[in-house]
Amino acid sequence: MRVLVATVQVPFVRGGAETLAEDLVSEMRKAGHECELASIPFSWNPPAKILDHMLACRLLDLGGPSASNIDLIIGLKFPAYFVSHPNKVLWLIHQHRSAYNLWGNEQYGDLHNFPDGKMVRDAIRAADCRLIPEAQEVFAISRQVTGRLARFNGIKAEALYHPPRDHSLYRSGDFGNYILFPSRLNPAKRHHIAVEALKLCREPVRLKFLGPSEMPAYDTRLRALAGQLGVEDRIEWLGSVSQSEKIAAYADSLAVVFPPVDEDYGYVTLEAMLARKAVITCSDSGGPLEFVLDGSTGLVVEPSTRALASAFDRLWGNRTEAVKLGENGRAHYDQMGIAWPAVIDRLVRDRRR
Amino acid sequence: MKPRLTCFSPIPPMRSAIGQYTVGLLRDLARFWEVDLWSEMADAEVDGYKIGRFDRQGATLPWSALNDAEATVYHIGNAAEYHGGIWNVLRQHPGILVLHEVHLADFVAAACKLPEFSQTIFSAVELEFGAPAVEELRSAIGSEDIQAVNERFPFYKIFADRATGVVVHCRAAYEEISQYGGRPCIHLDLPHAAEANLSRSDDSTPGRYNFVVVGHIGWNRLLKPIIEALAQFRDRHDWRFDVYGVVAEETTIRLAIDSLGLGDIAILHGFTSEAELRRALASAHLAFNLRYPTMGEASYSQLTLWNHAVPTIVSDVGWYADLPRGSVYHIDPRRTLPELTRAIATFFAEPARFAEMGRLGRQALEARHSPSRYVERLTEFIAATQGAASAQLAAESMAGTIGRRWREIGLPWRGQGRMADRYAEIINDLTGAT
Repeated sequence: MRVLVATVQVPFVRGGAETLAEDLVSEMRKAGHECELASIPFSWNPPAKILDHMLACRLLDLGGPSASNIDLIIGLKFPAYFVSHPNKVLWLIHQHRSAYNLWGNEQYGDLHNFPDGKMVRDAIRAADCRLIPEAQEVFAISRQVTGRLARFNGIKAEALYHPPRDHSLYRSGDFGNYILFPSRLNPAKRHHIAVEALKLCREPVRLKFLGPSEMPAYDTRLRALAGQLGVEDRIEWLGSVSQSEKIAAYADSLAVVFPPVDEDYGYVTLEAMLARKAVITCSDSGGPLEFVLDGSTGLVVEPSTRALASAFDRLWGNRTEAVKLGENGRAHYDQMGIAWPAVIDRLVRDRRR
Repeated sequence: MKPRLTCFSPIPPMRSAIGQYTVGLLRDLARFWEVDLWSEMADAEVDGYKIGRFDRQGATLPWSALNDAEATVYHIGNAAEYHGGIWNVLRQHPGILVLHEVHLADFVAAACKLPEFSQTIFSAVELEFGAPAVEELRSAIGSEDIQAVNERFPFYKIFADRATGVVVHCRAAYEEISQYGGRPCIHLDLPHAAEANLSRSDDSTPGRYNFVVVGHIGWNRLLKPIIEALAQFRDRHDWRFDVYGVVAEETTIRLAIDSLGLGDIAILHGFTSEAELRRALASAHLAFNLRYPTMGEASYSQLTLWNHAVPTIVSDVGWYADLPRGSVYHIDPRRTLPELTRAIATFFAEPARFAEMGRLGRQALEARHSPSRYVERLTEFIAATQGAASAQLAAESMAGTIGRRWREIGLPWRGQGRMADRYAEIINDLTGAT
């Protein structure tokens, strides 16, 4: 089949969504399909631009005679999934979260702070309600995303889990003297509560932050916070690293901490499980909770500094438990059968025009 | 927990009848809503309500809180100094527009002269009506021609464009805006509480008749012909004429009073306290509440007069023409002076007939202008319009983008109908707006 993957990207900003889109194209090709990625530049400020982008995407009618060589479109992100084609499926990475679960969230949302935010929010929700169901079938990357779709839009969807990039390369090494926090430096990932937790730890816990600085102000804030709390010598800032360095950092960690707010999916969780590492996450972290079984494959704690510190201390002081949780995590991952062929099959099955 | 309703309005001590109307509604609004009031004045106060102060550009407003409210209501009238800032907020944050006057030429004329609004006004007029309208507006500023410009380019549209719904208080305004078709519109009878136990107290000089004019006395209130008509009865009857409220053309009026030798019995009081006004109305025998032209308003002053059962002579135009026959005395505003003279003569001949008119007016107030009913219908209107109006605004934003881009590209608009149909279909797909 000739498959076009439609997504949007904020120019020069890369994250899990961009990786997923590229991997989907790659896996489609491996499965024998012709596949291309159509990535449309996206901007959300000021909010009226969002309406323009919705319109721009919808104006792309890829189903007419001039585009009849496209057998199937897979829409990934808002508003790219509004492109018009008679044979379209959605595999939602997420909707425009500022119009949904982050509406009114002062820390992580922004749309509600604009004068016309409510009008734009209503327009986004209305368009999603009207146009998402026109797809042949609607999938999402996690139950977290399908749950939001059901709650806000009344649309049912099926969660399709996929493996992280280079999943076969992850391995377990030494259980070293650090807990790894692999994520872009972004307030929504909540590095700050991990820094604050260090101050409360009874054990000499050490953290390694791995990931690029996405917001310089947050980076500065984190470093200042570490200094104020006197824990800077227990934190290592790895920044951007190569894929092999990342895999090595996972391999040699004692455990992995990943406490974001309402994450859509979270490759970090799966990468940790592949590397046989226990995952510490929070009860409001969203996607990771679909994989982390509290006390079995990791620890799920309240989103507080004290609870996080307690979890750090627990695994730091009981390495046997850390190892056991990590082993369980890997076994759990393998049981779930997370694999690209299953995803590809579900997306393209019976869809030839 | 009640939903939140945000209101932008002049609030006392601003000298605005719209402010009085807003305060008069609060108790009934509180049955359905948690009301947040916003005013431009730092010292605005209403018992029991916290009032937020906003700047004219809306730069310091907490948009998050406004977005969190169920709806925002904007009160717009012709006084640019009171409503200009409110319009500025409406432009940025759509909401329900309560259009207290539909003919907003005076607002536009005044705003054009205010540096903080002039550029915005010209831009809004150009966007709505095109560059020729701006040229006409520029040449009409400072002259009566502005009214004619408003006839060709109804300025209320630049306000309604950002509204999610429009509330008007008179039938003619409703018909005009419904014809425009851009926004859901509702006609509600202007509310005013009918106070119980208001007695007519005749503490004035026995045998003397007290005539009054109350409210904001703009240029269209025909005060000069009223004085000229009354002067004809100077020597035949004992009367006194009191004007309560700011008079727009005060010098002209004072000259008229002096030249007619009425200085001792025709008094301009200026803006007065509520208590003084109530005393005056309790002993008033006749009021003049004329408009020509009407600005498409309903008269809060008329309802205040009716509350005190004061018989009133009104112009037979607009909202006033729709008042129940028998509850007021109508005159033809195109023949103001002879009609007024005849009306006043009739009053002196049949004062009891006019007193009955005042009682019928009071009954009309009780029957049609209940604040409670007003708030119920306003609440229903808000609930019914919010979703569709947001869709319409989003659709217009998208259509505006298409128009701008098409102009930028500079291609000839061949096959315009088909293209427009296609774009309209796509916008409808996205928004659900028709």
